[in-house]
Amino acid sequence: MADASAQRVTTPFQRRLLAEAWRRIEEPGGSPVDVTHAELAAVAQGGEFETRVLNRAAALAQSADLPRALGGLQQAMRRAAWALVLFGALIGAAAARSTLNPDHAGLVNFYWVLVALLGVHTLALLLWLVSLPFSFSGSHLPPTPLRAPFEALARTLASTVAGNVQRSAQSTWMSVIGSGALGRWGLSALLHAFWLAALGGMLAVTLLMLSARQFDFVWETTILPEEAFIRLTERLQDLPARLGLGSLDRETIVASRRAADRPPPPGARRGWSALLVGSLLAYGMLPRAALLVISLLMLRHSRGRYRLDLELPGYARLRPRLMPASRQIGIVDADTGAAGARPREPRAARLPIARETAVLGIEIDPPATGWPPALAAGARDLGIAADRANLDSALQRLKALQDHPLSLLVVCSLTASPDRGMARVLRDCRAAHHGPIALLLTQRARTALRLDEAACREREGDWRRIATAAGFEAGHILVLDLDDAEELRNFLLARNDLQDAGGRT
Amino acid sequence: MNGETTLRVAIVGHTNTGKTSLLRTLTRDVAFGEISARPGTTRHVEATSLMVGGRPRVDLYDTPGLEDSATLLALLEEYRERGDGIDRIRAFLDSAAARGDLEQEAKVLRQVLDCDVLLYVIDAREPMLGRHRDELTVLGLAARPLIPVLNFTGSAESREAAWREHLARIGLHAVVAFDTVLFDPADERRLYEAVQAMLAPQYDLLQQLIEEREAAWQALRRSAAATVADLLVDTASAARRVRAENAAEMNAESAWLQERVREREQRCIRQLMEMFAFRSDDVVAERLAIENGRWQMDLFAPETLRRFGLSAGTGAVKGAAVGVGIDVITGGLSLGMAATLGATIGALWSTVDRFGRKLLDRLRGYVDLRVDENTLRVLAARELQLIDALLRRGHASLSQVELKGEAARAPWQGADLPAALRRARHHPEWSTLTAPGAPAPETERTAALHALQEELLQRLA
Repeated sequence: MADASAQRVTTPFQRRLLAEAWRRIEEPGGSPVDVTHAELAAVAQGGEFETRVLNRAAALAQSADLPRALGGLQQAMRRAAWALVLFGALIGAAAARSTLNPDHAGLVNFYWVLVALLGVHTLALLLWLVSLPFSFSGSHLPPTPLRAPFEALARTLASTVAGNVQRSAQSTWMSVIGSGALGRWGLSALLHAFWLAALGGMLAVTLLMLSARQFDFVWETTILPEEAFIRLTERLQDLPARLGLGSLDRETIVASRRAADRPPPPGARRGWSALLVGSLLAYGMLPRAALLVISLLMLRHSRGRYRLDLELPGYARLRPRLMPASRQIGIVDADTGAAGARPREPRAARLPIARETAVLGIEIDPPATGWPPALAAGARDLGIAADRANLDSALQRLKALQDHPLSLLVVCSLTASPDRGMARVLRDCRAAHHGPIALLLTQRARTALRLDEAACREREGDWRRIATAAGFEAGHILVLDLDDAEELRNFLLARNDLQDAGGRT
Repeated sequence: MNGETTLRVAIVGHTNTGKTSLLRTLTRDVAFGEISARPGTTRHVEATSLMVGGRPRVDLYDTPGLEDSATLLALLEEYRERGDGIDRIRAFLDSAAARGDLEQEAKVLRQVLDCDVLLYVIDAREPMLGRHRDELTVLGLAARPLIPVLNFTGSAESREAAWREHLARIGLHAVVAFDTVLFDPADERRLYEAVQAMLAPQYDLLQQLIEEREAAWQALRRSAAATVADLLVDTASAARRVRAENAAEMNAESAWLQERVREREQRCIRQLMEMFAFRSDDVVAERLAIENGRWQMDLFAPETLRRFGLSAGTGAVKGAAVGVGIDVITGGLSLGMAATLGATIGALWSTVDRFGRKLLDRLRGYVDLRVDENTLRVLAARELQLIDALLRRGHASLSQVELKGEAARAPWQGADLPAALRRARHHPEWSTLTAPGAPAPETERTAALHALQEELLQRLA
């Protein structure tokens, strides 16, 4: 239990403890130090999510002096444990001193001494064994008199060095070390160490008194049969005999029965003393020492098995940063702007009076109000062009009509992207038709379903931009939702814009 | 790359169909590229890599939209004598047109030739048009496996069925529906499985990717529930002691408590947004309406009794663990050693003292000010609603999540709060709101948190 490296964080358990303490510092108000560097380093070091969390915490905690706070706490707890052990030894010594007390006849009741020295210990041991299975089902330790001083000690320590770091170190200590398997085996180890020390104290004082004073051990009974004690003694010395500390024969036992008329045989003193020491060892110290070793091993095992609860918000929020799902590579083929320079065709055709209008739809669904739109009387239907071939044949038909004074109405949907492909279609329409040309943008309602208001306005602006660039006159671009019968009727009632525009010129 | 292969995927499609959105959602990266409703937003080829086993293994290339495929196709037709499709594309890439008006298309084709598989993104709200056929013809010349990805299938206008039929008629059957805004992990899995089916050599890599994504998704759900459980326990256990007849003090304390609860909820929302890798300003939370319940500790509730060591029922046996042993030891030692008696008496005294103080407080007219049960229900409803929204939210989503928390949809309506929360009511020291940094052992709180987390997971879709 020597404590050379309290401040150095080396074992995986200590690293996890540190990460847990760091989480408690960060959780309420964020990290007190800048995390960027530590997180980048943790990602660069790689590994599982837990490894990265530990690396990150180790780097950050160092700067906040957290390892020292935890180390200090650990040291204080160890001192307290040693104090308890020392206290146990003293109590054991005192118990042995007060028990080995010959009566007025100079006799000592062997069984009285044995029960006084080992009785409480045995009872406590049995209770510990019985209660052990229960402690596995409950996840918590009960409030106990032994626990209370430890908590008080932790509180006192916390108050001596105020601040976030210390508080977190202390609450981590209490909830990690003081609970679950770690708490169970830690407290068990402490308990067995205490009893081992107490029994050690008893043994030391017993040996001292057996060496320096003379006791005549006897046994006595009032109502029990003599045979019972003889048998009991024989059974009792089975185990110490294996240690070479029990060699009372039947005659000596019988002769040691307390009697007023004769003292016990002087040869029996050595035998009874050996049995007393042997019982202390075989029934007291050895089981306790074995359990102490087991508890310490289990404690070590539990420490090895301790894992951070990575589902806690304090850890889970780190996952996207420490375990990113992706890593940006960056731009691999940069835009040179060549395609962005869209040629502008300065052509401002005026819309003359058009007796007839040809209507051409580009990549649209037939409107709910029917196709061709009832916008102009005697509109000529050039159809809806869904692909390049459709468009080319429609434009051919348009050319065949060139002897008529015809205006062309191109219908496009606002849901479509006004991209370069579309710009080319508009340019081709403009080029194919020498008469007046207008653009109608439909499906505004449907566009509004997909885009917010600003994006809708942007979309409309983009359409106007590519249309004017393609040679459409700004005044001859109108937005009218052909899916909306009401809107169409209102529009017709207010007279057709196309004709109006033509009428004015 | 020490023998490890990297899968190269090009995301192609008409302009404005959501190529960058698809990437954002697949990479869980809200900061990738630029998204807008305008065409030609992405003008360079930008790359990102999906991490598999902690290493970048799947490179995704976001390409500019194909805008003028008709002209492009016509040009490629002109190179017919140059050989097969790939040769024709190479010839086009060397031509002047590839540096002029069709520069963007050239970028796309250059990237396509450099990749193992193509994801062709389609806006499923649009009808199938000539340009789509042109684009598919052009891409077909590159002779790369191509998977059509239907975006916006969650929209009411989606024409998914029609698209599937059209695509099947031109021989494209491995069509995947993947809405980049309304995220569904099953769709993502199907997308990777489609790639898996086309690229047998990369089967294991993609399988690992699928499994890691699934695990991350489950971890996210559990952590989200744990985060809300933490908020609820903190709020349920918060308590302020006030004198019943002092109205001014009561108001001040109640305002103080309400503010703490609101702050705590903000913290929870921040944590959730952070763990889902969304921007924290992507959520608009309506101000939480809080009622303070005046709630006195029931002196004889089993939980109260248990806390003061007057165990009722199984608590004593369970709690016995090491404790009973120690109790008996100290009691036992005092047979011969009076010294230890102090500890036992001390423990007993503190119990009497605390229990007595409660009784005394009550006689003096103190009450505990707590957050009312219905507020807890609303709080739970809001946070569950938020998690549901976040689980379904693609990283391409530009809209904000609105947080209302209608009491009508609140959990535990007309029923008791879950046992874990009822227990929290008796433990003011569990609350980081009213007892910050308390050195209380947290194991019981942790047990309550886990129970509540499971309860909340049940309520998540």
